[in-house]
Amino acid sequence: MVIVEDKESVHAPPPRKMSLARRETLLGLAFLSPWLVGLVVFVAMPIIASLALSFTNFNILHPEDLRFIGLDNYSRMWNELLSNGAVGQSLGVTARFTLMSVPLSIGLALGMALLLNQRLLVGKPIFRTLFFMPVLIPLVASTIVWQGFLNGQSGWLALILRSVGLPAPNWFYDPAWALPGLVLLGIWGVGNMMLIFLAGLQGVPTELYEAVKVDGGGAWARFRHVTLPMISPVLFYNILISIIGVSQYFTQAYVIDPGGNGLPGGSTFFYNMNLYKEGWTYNNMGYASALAWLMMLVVVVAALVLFRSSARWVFYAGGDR
Amino acid sequence: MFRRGFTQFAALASVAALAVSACGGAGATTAPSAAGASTAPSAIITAGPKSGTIVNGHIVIRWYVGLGSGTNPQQIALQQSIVNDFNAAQDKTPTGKGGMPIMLSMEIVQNTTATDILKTELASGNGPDIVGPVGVKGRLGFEGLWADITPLAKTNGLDLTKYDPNLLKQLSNSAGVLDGFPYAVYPSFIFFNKDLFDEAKLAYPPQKVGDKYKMPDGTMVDWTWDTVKTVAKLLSVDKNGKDASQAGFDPANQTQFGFEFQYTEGRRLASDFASGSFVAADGKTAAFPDPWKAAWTWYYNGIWTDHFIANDTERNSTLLGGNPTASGHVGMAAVLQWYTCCLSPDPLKANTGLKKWDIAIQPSYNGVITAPMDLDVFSITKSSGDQQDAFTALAYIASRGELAANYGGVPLLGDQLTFYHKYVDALLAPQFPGNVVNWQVAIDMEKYAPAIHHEAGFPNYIKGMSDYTKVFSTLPTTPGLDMNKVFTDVTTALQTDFNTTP
Repeated sequence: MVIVEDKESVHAPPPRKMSLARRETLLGLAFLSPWLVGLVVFVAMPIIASLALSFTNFNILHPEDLRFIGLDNYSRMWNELLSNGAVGQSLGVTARFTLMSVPLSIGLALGMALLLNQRLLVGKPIFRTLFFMPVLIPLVASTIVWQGFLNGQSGWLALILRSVGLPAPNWFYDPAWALPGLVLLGIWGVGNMMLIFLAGLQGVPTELYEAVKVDGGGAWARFRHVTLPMISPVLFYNILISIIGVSQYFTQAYVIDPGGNGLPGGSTFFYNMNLYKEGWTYNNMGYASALAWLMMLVVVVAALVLFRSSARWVFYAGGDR
Repeated sequence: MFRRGFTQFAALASVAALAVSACGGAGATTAPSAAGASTAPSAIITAGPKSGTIVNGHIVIRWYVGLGSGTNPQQIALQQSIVNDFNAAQDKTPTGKGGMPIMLSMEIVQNTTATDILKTELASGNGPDIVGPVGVKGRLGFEGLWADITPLAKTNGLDLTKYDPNLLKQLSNSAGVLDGFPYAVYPSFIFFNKDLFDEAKLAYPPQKVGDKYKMPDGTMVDWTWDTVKTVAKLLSVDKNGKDASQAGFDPANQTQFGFEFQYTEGRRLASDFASGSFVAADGKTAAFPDPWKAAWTWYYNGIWTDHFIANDTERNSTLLGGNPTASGHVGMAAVLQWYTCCLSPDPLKANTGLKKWDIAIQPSYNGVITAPMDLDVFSITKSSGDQQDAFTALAYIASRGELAANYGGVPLLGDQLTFYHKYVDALLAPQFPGNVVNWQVAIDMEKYAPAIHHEAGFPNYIKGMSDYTKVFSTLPTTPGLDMNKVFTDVTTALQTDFNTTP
């Protein structure tokens, strides 16, 4: 009997089996790949490209003239800020809007959530749905509806105000009232924030309220010493999200003035309107990219300040942040 | 018990507030942002194959519609039938490069986004071949990117000397190059609501240059902007039935207005008074001609002092619906021909607001009549893969006169009156049954077009446009303005823009 030895099979190491964890990781990545590719191609690359373009004179109609101009765009931005040019004006409008809109929408959302958290309220699911519904309406549609609602001549609000002998502002057609009009429009859509507050409120242990009651505390004491500290992480989150949201504010103002001039009289000339104008109307994509990065910087600084301050007022029940 | 009731009430009140807001109704419709742009919903046809490529033995030529008119359903349907006719003819008798048939492919983009999309396509090297119809302003945003039409027309045997040289000059770019093929004109005139004139027992405005206007007291006066003001006040009525010339007139509760500059902008409104420009003859100094100051002041006082023009709040109220002239509550309006696009919410049904109307000549200012005129062209992009074949397709499109009527204009050449009766009347008949319009007025007004086009270029054009518009927009929104400051603000902003021309 001749025994033929398969040398390769004798000396070759046994085929390595891929571990289950590794296989699952690869499979997971394979399933995730459409999203990952999308993230890289449509998010990460444009972000990197915009940073690179912010140091160039990129004009969308004349890409052939593209050249590196160092910090020229940033220095122009600085000059426009100091001279109260377009950057200064648009930052001013955005800052004013933030100061009006963020506290008001937070307060209103919290108030509505407190209302819906009341034991005595009948039909909570219905109210919850109704308060949330405006969030589902597309921004463009809701802005057009609000234009009609706030019309100083025939809008419902004007009719209501006049019927009780109050003057009706011209809202979107009056430079002094256009911004408050947009704030009103914004608070109509606080349903999302309200739901987050409501979730936070429902997580507050009832025994804490009972302890305050036993100590003789009233409704205000319960809110001040129990509710507010217990929902402070939610409050922190909502403030942060609101600031980020305001930094991206564009659609509603653009619907009111598709020309992008911030009409009437520049009163709604938000930072992103200026960015849009520079990039798409004046074709200065390089400068518009620099403007985008400035806004990112502003938001990062605001977020950092918020995070630093949170140590003093945000209470985490578990002690960890 | 009280707490439960209060909680319930608060929740219901909040819901009611939200619901009232939601049901407030949109009183306004958005004004078209360019000549002929429609308020009707638009279909979108996206970009086809790259221009100049060969697909199934056909040379692809892309036609981009949206910078001006051409995006409402009726226009799209007609344009598509023209494309189909052209392609069928090409399949029978190919005239493209190398004897190949040309395949025309249409791309429709909504007017509000057309500029941005065209920029993106051009920047990505995927631009169309033909762009149009497009007006002077729309083209200036892309100056330097349009092909010279003159040699292309010559090769195709089209004689451009048939056109008025002044008109061709107005259609040329700052380097004197004719970069658009002249297609349609949109003269301006005074539109008047006959029903409101009849109700006020006022004589109709004159329809022949030189004719005088008969005032209510029987005196015959020249048809000037002062006369228009007097008549417009008589046509402005409050809820108590008083007109704006009477004591006790209540401007806060007007039910009717005497005049409107329909869908206007600052330079066109000013050009209703006299030809002019925001740039002086030296080409670098910002200017505000005196007649233009007079026009802006007339407009401003008409809104806030004399109350015969609606302010922006009133324009967008349910009474005027964002389209004052068509609402039937405005006596007269300065309009351009393209406004015939927007007289009815449904172009196939009889209008319920405005019913009987006609047109009159422009009033004079200091004895001179000026009637701003919009001009539409079809242009070919410099980046077109096949300019010559693109021009062949363009020439075919431009030869189809009925398209001009659908855009709200009239062709530059040929018998315009016949055209009005054949096409424009046919389009308007379903909306205004039995209404007869004296189109000769529009034809006559073409002779009074300003020497400088109201949309003519100036240094740093797009930036300057934005800056003066920002100031102009305060006129219909803000009472108590110092008009001298307004003029200074405009010239200061423009001079800064001129000095920083890229």
